[in-house]
Amino acid sequence: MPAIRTEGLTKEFGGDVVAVEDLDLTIEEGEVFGFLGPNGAGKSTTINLLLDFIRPTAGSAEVFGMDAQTEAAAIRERTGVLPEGYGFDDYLTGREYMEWAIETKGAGDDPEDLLDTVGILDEADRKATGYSKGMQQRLAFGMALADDPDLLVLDEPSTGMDPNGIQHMRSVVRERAEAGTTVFFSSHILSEVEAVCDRVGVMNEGRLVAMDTIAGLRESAGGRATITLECREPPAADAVGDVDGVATVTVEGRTLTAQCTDPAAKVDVVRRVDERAEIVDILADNTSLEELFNEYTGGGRDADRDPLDVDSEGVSA
Amino acid sequence: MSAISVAKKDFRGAKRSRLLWAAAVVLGLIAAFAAYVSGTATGASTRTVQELFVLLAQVLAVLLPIVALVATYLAIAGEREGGGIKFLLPCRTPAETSSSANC
Repeated sequence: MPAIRTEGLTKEFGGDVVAVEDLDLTIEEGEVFGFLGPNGAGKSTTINLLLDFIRPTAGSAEVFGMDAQTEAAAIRERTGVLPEGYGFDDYLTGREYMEWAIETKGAGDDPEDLLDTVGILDEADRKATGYSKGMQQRLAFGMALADDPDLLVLDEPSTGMDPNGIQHMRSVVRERAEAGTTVFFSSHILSEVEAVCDRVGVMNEGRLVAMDTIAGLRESAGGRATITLECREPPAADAVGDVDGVATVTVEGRTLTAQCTDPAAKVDVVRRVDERAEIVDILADNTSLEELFNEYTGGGRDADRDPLDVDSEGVSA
Repeated sequence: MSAISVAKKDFRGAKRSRLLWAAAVVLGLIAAFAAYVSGTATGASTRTVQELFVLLAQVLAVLLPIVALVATYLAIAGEREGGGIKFLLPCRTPAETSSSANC
């Protein structure tokens, strides 16, 4: 039984705004699913439909085999949500909010444990209204984890978090997923879900434009990877010409550049060259995930404007 | 039961709300001021005390609806505006009821 299944799910607002159009989505139990799209693509609307905060115009949504509309209460019982647009507007401390979340869920978690998991135990006795955005996000994430839900719905969870926080959140998500939790992870940053998601779906203007693994997306987008090796002495091009997945090899002085059709071939290139020459520097360059994302979403809201300078991912091995 | 825990949270928050305390202090000051003015004007007698209560009732008749209006707005629309409702909506309902209105 899939954790989430939607069929022809459609939501129109006011007859002329189609937020979600004919969405077919199947997410298996235990999967970490990245739900991507630029701002206004319909991600949050889909989440709201799944949790019965709003009703679809057409189509159906099921969570754990239960209808999202008729069995919403039972679905919410098994779901932890990190919503978007929340606010800590009561004068309560982080600890009190966490205790409240645990109490309303009828859970037996230790508030200290959860606060520690999200890294705000030291600040637990301060008012949550005074927290920075990143700390509020950590607290909200911790509240979603209470009662160890079977489905975690995270709506742009890394908003406002520092890199450490994001990394830590990802590892918590991974841990929970390994323990069997299904994670529905929405984001507008492709590189962010790369590390954590088994599969991603890309939304654009209410439509699902792609659904695959990150590697699969790269491949179907015709992504190429380039690796540049700088050696102490001029390397020989024929050393790597026959490696599987390498398209072209060029040598210029002490620098060897290989274009790979398969990003995984880069490792073999390094090994081969290393056998014959001493490598002093490595620069790897994948089709940037941002470029990939732009390709699927047609530039999103900024399609008509000057393209942003897209940094390629420089990875030093 | 989640209805009770939601109420508990709201009370705890309200106790610390500066807005609520400010409203209470303003009402107290108005009452004290009215008592002081009417007390010094005609001297203390049963009649002045009665008049004071009438005056206070009139002041409260104007002020209380305003306070109530703000309070009820904040209780529902304010919860939505401030984003607190996002935590209330997905919270679980007791298993024995199928209605989601309880939480």
